[in-house]
Amino acid sequence: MMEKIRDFIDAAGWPRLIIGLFLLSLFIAAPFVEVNLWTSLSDVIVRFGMWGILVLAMVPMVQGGCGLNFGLPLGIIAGLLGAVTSVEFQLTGLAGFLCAVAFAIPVAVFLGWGYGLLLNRVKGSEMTIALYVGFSSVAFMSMMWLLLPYKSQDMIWAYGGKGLRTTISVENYWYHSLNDLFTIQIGEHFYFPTGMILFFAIMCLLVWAFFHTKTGTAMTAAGSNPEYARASGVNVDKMRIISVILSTVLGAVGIIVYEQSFGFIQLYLGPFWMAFPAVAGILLGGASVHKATMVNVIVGTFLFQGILAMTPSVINNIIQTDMSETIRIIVSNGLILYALTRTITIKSAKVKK
Amino acid sequence: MMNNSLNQNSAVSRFFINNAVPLLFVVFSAIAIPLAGLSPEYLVQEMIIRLGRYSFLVLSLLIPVIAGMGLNFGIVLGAMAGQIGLIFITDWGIVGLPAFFLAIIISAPLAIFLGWMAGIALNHAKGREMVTSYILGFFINGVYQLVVLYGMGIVIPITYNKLVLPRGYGVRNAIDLKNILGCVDNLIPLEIAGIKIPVATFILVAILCIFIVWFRKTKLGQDMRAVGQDMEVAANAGINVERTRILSIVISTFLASIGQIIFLQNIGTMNTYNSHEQIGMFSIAALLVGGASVAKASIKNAFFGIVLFHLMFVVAPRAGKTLMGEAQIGEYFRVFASYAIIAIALALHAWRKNKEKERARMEFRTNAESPSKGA
Amino acid sequence: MKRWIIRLLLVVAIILLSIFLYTIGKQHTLLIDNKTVAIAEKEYTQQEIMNVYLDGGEKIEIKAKKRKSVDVVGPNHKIVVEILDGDKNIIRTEEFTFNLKTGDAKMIVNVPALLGGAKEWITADE
Repeated sequence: MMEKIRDFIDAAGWPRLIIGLFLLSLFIAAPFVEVNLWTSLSDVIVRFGMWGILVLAMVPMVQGGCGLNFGLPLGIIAGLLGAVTSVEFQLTGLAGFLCAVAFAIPVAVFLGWGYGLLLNRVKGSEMTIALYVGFSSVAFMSMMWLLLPYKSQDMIWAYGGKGLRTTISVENYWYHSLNDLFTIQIGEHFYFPTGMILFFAIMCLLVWAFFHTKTGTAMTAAGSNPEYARASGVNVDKMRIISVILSTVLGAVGIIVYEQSFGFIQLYLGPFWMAFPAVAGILLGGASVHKATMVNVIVGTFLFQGILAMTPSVINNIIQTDMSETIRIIVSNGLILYALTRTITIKSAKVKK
Repeated sequence: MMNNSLNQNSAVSRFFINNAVPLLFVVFSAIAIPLAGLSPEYLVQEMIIRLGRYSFLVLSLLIPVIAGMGLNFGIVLGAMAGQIGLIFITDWGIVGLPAFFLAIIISAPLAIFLGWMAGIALNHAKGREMVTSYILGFFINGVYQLVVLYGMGIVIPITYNKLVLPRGYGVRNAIDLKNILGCVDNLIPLEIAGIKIPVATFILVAILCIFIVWFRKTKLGQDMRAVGQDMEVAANAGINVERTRILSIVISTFLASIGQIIFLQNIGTMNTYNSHEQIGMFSIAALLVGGASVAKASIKNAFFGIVLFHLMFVVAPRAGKTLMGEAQIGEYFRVFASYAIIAIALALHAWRKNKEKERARMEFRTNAESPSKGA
Repeated sequence: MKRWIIRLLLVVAIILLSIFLYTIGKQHTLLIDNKTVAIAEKEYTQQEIMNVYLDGGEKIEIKAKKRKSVDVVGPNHKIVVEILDGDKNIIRTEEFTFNLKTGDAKMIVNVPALLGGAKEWITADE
C-alpha cells in the first residue's frame, strides 16, 4: 500500500501534489467564505473546456523536439481569421462554428509550415524566437485588421470607421454553440458544457491516436533523440515541421472553441499574451520541455484554470478586497517560473534512475 | 585562386548578415523620415533627449551578455526598485539633486536583492535564461503590485496624502515627479544651435561607459568573459561559475535601477504600474538594433541602437499617417517593428551559431579524412 | 577582518551621506503671514503692505491680513522683509537668517512677530 502511494507521489511529483492539495483546500474553503461551490465548479469546468485545446496544442511541438510553443499566437491568428470570416458570411449555430474551424485550418497549415521552416533554422533557440514570432505576428495582424476588406456591420467600426472592431460579439452567431449541446444543468448553479468537453475529448483522442501512428512515433523519436532518429531513416526536419503545423492547427481550433464559450472574438492585441496560460497549463501538468502527454494536458489545464478561477474569488472574500488581477499575475507567472527552473532537476533525477 | 574569391564573397555576405538588423533600420529610416515630414532640428533634439533618457538603461544590459546570460529582461526588476526609491523620496518631500541621489541609495539594496534572486533563478534555468528572465519580470511585477497597490499606506507607512489612492491605501497610478524633473538634465545647461543638450546626464552615462570598459579588464570581468564563453572550461579553471553569473545579474539590476531613475527624472511623471513594463523590451530592442547579439554586445551597439530604434519610434506613426491616412497603423507598425527586430536578431544569431557548429563539424570530418587521403 | 571593517565603514559612510542628502534636500512649505498676532501678552501689528524675499528668490507681496505660501529647500535660509508705505515706497528693510529642522515640513511665519523680535515668530502648522 505504502509502495503504491510512494510510486504515485514519485510519478505525480511534489509540485503537482502541492498545487492539487491547495486547489482542494480552496474548494473546501469556498462555502465558508460565501463563495458558491457549485458555481465555482461550473466556472472551473467551463474554463477547463475553453483552454483545453490550446494547452493540447503544446503537445505536438514538445514531442517533436521544438520546445514549448510560445508562438501559439500564430495559430490563434489563423483561428481569428476563420472566426471573422464565418461571421462575415453570416453563419450561425453549430454550422457557423464548424465553418470557422474549416476556414481556419488551411491558414493554420500555411502559417505553421512557414513557422516550422524558421524553427528548423534556429535549433536550440526555438522558444525565445517563438516568443517573438508570436508577438510580431500579433502586431502585424493588428495592422491588417485595420486594412482587411471585411464588411459585416457587426464587425466594423460604427460611424463609417475603417477596419474591424477590437472586440466582436458572436452572440447572434455561434455563441455557446458547443457549450449548449447536450448541456447538463443541475439546479441554479451547476452548468456542465457537455458539448465543449465532448469536443475536447475527441480532440485529445485524435492527438493520442496520431502519436500511435507511424508518423506520430517517428515524430516522438525525432524529438527525443534526433541523431538516433536520423540514423533510423526518419526525416527529422520534416517531422519538426509537421509538429509545428499540428500545434498551429490545434491553436486555431482551440481559440475558436474558446471564443464560442467566451462570446467574443478579440482582435488586435487580444492574442498577445495567450501563449502563457497554455504553457503554464502544460508545465503544471507535469510536462517538460521535451515530453508531454495527454495526462499532462488534462491534469495541468484543470489545476491551472482551477487555481486561476478559485484563488482570486476565495482570497477576495477573505480579505474583502479585489486583488484578483494581481493574484492572477503572481500565480500564473510563478507557476511558469517554477516549472522553468525545475525542469533540469526532474530530468536529471529521471536519468539517474 | 578559388579560395580568394570565395573569401571575398563570404566577407561581403558576412558583413551583411552580421549587420542585417541595423542595415534594415537604416533603410527603413531613409524611407520613412521624408514620409513623416518632421524637421531635422526636431529629430536631432528628440534623439538627443532619448539618448539621455535611455542610454544608462541600455548600457546596463551589457554585463550579463559578457557573462553569457543573454539579454537580461530582468532589468525590469531594477526599474521597479528604482521606482520604489522614488516613491519614498516623494513621500518624504525631498527635492532636487539630493532627492535623485537619495533615491538611488534607497533603491540600491532592493535592486541588489532582486538581482541576486534573479541570478539564482537563472542559474536553475541554464540554457533558458532569456525566457526565464522574461517571466521573472512579470512575476516580480505581480509582487510589486501587491506591495505598492495594496501594501503601501497600510503596512508601509506613507504620509504624503497626494500619493495615496482615494480609498486610503495603495499608491496612485500617476505620480508627478516635479520634485526631480530635469534635476540632472538641466544641471549644466547647454544649447547649441537651438538644441538643448543634457550635459550632466551625458556625464553620468560617460562615467558608466568608463566603468564598463574598466570592469572588462578586472578579474571579475575576465571571469565573466570566461564563463560566457564556456562554463565548463571556466569551472575547470577554478572560477565559481554560479557566483559569477549571479554577480553579473546583480550589477545589471543595480545599474538598471539608476537608469530608471534617470529615465524618470527626464520624463517627470511616473506611471506607477506601467513605467517599468516596457523598459526591458525597449532597451533590448534598441541594443539589438544597434547590431548586438545574444552573445556579443558593445557600447557602440547601445548608442547606435538607441538612435536608430527611437528614430523608427518617432517617425513610424507619422509615416503611417502619410502613407495610409491612419496614424494607428503607424503605431501598430511600431510595436510590430520592435518585436520583429528582436525576432530577426535572435533568429540570425541562432542561425549563425548553428551554421558555425555545422562548419566545425564539416572541418572535423574533412580533417579526419584528409590524413588517410594524403597518405 | 580588514575587509569587514572597510565594508562597515562604507556602510556608515553611505548612511551619513543619506542623512546629509535628506537634510539638504528636504522641502519645507512656509506660510508667510502679514497678520496681527498676540504672543505672550504682547501684540505685534501687521503692516499695511510688505515685500518678502526668501533666499534671494522672487518678490512676494503680502498685504495686511494676507498669507502667502512659498516652498524652500534645505536647512539654512535668509528672509528679507521690505516694509512699504501706501505709495509702494520702501520705508525700511530688514534681514533675518534662520534654520529649519528636517521635521519642519510646514511652518507658519508671522512677519510682524519676526519684526517685533518675538521668539515664537515661526511655528509649526498643525
